[in-house]
Amino acid sequence: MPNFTIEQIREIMYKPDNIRNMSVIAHVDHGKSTLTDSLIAKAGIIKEDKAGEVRATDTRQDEQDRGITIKSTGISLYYEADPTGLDKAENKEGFLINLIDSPGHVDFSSEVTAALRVTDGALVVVDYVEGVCVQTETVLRQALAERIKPVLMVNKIDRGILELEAEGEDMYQQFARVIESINVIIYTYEKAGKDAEAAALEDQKATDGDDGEEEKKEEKKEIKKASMGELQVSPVGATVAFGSGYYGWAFTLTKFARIYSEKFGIDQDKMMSKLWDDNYYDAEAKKWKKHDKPDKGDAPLTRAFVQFIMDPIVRLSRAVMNDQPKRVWKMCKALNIEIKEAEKEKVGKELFKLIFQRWLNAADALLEMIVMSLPSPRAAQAYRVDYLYEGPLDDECANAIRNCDQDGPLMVFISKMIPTNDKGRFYAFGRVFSGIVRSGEKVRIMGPNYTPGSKTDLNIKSIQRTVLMMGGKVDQVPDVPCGNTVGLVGIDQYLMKQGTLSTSEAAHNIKVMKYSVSPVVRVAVEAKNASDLPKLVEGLKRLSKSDPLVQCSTTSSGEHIIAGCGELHVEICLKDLEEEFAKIPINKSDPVVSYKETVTVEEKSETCLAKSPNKHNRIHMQSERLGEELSNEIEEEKIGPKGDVKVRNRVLVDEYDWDINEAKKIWFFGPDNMGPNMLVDTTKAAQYLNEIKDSMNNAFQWVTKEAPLTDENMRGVKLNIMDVTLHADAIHRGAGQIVPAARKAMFAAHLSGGPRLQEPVFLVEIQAPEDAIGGIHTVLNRRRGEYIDEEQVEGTPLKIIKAYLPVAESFGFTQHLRTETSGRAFPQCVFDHWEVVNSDPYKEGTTSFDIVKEIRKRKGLKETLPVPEDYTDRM
Amino acid sequence: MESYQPQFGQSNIRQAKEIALENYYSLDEVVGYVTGFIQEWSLTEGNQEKEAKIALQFPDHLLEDSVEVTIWLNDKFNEISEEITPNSAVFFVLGDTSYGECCVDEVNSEHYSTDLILHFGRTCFTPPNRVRATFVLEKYPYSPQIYEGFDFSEVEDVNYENTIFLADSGYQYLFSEETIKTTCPDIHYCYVPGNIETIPDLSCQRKEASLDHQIMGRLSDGKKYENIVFLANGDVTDNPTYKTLLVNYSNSHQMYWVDLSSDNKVVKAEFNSEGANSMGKFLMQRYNLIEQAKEAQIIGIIMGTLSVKGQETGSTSIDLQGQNLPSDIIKKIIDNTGRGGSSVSHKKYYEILIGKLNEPKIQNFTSVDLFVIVACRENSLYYSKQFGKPVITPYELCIALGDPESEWMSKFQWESRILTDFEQFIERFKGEELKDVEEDEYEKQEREEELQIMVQEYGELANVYPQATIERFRELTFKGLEMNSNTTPAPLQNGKFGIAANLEEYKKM
Repeated sequence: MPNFTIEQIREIMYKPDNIRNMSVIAHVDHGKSTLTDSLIAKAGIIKEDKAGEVRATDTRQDEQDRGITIKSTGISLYYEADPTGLDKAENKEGFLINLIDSPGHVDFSSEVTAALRVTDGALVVVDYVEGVCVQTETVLRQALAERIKPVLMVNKIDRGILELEAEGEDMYQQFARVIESINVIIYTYEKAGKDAEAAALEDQKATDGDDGEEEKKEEKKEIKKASMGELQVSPVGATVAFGSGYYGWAFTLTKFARIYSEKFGIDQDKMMSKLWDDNYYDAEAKKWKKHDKPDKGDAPLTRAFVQFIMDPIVRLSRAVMNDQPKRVWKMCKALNIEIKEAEKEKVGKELFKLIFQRWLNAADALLEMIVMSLPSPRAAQAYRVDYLYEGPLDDECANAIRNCDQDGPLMVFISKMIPTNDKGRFYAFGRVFSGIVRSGEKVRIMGPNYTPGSKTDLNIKSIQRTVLMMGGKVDQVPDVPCGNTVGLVGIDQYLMKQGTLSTSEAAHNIKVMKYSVSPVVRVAVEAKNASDLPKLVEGLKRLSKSDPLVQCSTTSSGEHIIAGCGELHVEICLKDLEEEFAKIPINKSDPVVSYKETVTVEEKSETCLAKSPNKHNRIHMQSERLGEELSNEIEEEKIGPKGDVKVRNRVLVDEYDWDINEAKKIWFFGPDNMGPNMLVDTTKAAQYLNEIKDSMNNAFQWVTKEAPLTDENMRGVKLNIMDVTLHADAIHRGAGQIVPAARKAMFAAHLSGGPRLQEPVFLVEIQAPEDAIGGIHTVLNRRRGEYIDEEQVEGTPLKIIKAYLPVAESFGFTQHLRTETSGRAFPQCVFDHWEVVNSDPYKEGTTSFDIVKEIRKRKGLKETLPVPEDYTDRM
Repeated sequence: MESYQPQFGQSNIRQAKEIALENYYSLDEVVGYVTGFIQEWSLTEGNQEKEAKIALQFPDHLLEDSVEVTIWLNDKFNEISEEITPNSAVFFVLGDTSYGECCVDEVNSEHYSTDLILHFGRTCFTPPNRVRATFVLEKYPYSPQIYEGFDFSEVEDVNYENTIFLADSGYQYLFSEETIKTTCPDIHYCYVPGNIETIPDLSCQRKEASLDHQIMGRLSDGKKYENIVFLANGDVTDNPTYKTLLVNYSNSHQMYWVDLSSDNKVVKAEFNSEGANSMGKFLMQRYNLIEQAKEAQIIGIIMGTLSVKGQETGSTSIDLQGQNLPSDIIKKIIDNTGRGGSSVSHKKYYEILIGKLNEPKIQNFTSVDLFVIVACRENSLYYSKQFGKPVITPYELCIALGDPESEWMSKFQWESRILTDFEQFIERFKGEELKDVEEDEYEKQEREEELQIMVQEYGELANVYPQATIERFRELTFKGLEMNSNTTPAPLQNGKFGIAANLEEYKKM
């Protein structure tokens, strides 16, 4: 049973200074859920001796079975802690920690994004042996981008002590390396931020100069940007903990500084700095030194950190594990660890856990670190508001968020949907940024496409119930004030995946989350019985809601497609669909890759002419390559239909050598009005052209969505309108005439531009011991992999190999790798870029030809490929 | 492009097999029928001195026979008519058909004010609505193996007892021939209902046309059968009747077919197999359209034929308050749903008459999201990619609008089929009441508020167009010519009146 009550939690919910919202993030298998257990055990929800084994936040059966976290799980915990860091009983206050445990596998990183959004701080867990891995870096970057303050936990140091039999100094070096690599990531991020800011400032100056608007400048100055404070982690700043989640122990320097400051009579803060870095204590001379040369004798001094912290830990661990009871009890006594007689019968790991949990309780250490080093919602929202809020930063809502104002208008961001026990319904899980959310209150539900003043993507509905998420369970509460996470009942059907709730009519959206991964792996699903179709469609809708990233779509041929970012992700989605959401027998296709169609012609394609059905209108089109870099920028929404056209034009002219007149005449982006293809007007004095703009766009969106060869999207294609001849009577150049003609002309232009397929490519990082490298190369070679780089993980016999691997070749890759290396290689695949499949799809026997043929067959298209002549007309 | 290909590939079987004109089209019987008709017709007031106008309608692939047939009929009629009737008759061929080839072209015939239409070729047996017409059925040749009855050796559990036979219209005559009656005395088959005139005269006067017993416009004897065997000439893949049959009945019956032109073997319909063109895939496609219909804001109601009737289908008793236009029924259905429902906002509709569908016509209605087509049973399923906009049947629309809480809409649940027969569709409303919907107070208020905003922005337009249209209008880059408020508009004048081929000056009533 939890050792706190809902009433205690509710009391603190109203004190934003005593709340900490945090997520636990790390590379897969670095021990997040295990570590989280310690915290949950401390709150009394699970038993302390079971902590580290139950993984209470892995609430799903398949999470337990596979031993990995799939969904991020939120839990609210209550503790009493001393915010001053002195650990004195009289200073203790109640704290509410809203903790979210997130998955580490790269396929589920969208879950991490959703978790980060609603929290203010992140506990970054790093495996002592493996060090900073790919996913550590990815999630840390994400956290920093979301303006989340990190603290570090170096986990699994028991492996260093017991398995690698490392000595204190080696361990110090390894710790220093881990901290260093984390700080490098933070530094590069900070630097990038500063550079961008400087550039923006310069830009601002330039535009201000242009327009001569002095007012703007002043306005800018008025809004002070709150700073995030120090981001770099350091043991001295008590933002780094060391320990072992599995055995439930951890420490920060604070713990030891507290003990030794009395002994040495030094101030606690000063003591902390002595316990790290090049600080040595010469016991004979009773002096602190900056080097390891003693006054007398030649034996070098031991680093203070090693001497006072690591050595006792290492000695005690070895004593316990080597079964030397006498030494153990003696040391326990010296270290003030109380062991009851009954408990002395325990041996080995159980005893190890018991003793260390008593001595260096992980929860205590982490809690102290969380409470002291992570920001409260009030502190965090002051600087996060600039990033989060889309509207003007001085309006009512922005101010309420900035001040975490309970009396302000309600602002809630819903980051994900969690399935309820009630079939088909969801809790909308999110964070209250301002105001108080109450049961029964009418709120404005604003989807991602909402713009203030319009009615698109807006619903006004009442919240049925407000709940607190407690791991797998929920607790109903009448209201939740700002600064907390919350689950809402009754609004799920008005939101797709994420959205903003508000009570203010003037409220703008809170920024939509962007994910670092893309859904490139797809499977087609089909109901075994056609009569189950409605259930399948309903199930897909639910699936799409329950997962932040998965995309469920229907092609025009009626195929239902599930797209995820990796094989595992898709596998989990399919399982959920079959067992949870649809509950019908399903046929699934083998995983397929989404291809794109592009053009490759060097300069420009020849001009293609198409006539309208009534033959009274002619449209001349031409295709051109957009270039990889520009396509990427559009996909990252750096260049696109939104934003200032002037800025866009300047970028195109300066960086991509565009002609300014052409840049000014970009009509549309597509597909979906934002994709990496452009429709550009390059006509000269064509009459009535402006009247057919909408029809042209109509055709353009259609063509870029369903390109002629495969019916897949186009990518990186620029379609130029060369000339149009239109009938003088408006009635003869209506949409009905222009759309078919434009579509034909665009198809022809695309096909005469040397059409090629683009396939998605993964970046794989494989971690394996030296002697498994051979096997890895074999697998990579067989799967068209492209080897990039190999790196030794310092302090370990492990190597990290980086390579590019086409997504199409990645199915079964993990399994293949395991067999070839006797299970010693662990790959992580993450989508990296699109690459042209360099063969002509028209030539029989080439890869492209086979791919196109396969897709056309699957979609029920004619087997013969279309050629430009199918679509063009003669003058 | 795919969209400009003819819908179904058909060939002129008569010319291929070199069958004599008069046998293939039973022309002697046609002349007999026409003579009878004229005798009867001339008795009517005002017709005594007139020349009877008799139109011949051919599908495109039989047009090559039309001249010969017309000449033949003209000669023959003139030969015999003098003895029988004082009236003369003129035979002519109807050109370009307004709708599907299987239906009687009522629009054209009204333009020429014909007295009788002779419809040649494949038909869907939809009785014409407002003109006198008769179906001249082709007589497909059959394989001599039929003299041994049907061969069930390749299919299990199929026999005459549990099976009903349904013929392509060109084989319908077979059931009244002596051959089949002697070779397969136990055969159950569908016959032509009594309200339809055919040549050769096959319609059965025995029973009233009851919808319960109807399969594809033909009548069964009302018993339950597990299997349906379709008599086809040649391959069935492109046979519209067979396709429609599958779509309508494959969920409830096992489907088989016989290619009577080559043999007498009953073959199982392989529509559940894998592959892009299987029935399962087809139903998936259709279900996808239903999903799109749920989202659609503006619906276009297309009249795909004028023959389909709304009311007057035997015992149907829907309260339609005297309205029997199919489009009115659909409007009512749309009006009756979507209101009060929590998430679905009320849908708007337009009624559209555009004759045969093609891409340019459909694309002209840019703001319409989805079209519902009221057409005959064989002409209702369109491949949506053909037009860039989905086109669905009224039945599918009802499933999309379906609201389990509403009593009559719960009759429309997905049942792995598509009901394309409009009359059977209407039959489902039997005993239900479709009310004229009035807005409730809240809705009225909300709408008025909306209107206020729109009037401010768009002036007079707001009164005319539904909100969704205005939303779309707002998105357009080209909104039409600039309003110039300084010029006074020209006064309204009477225009011309009538059909385009023959305009008259506007007459004051």
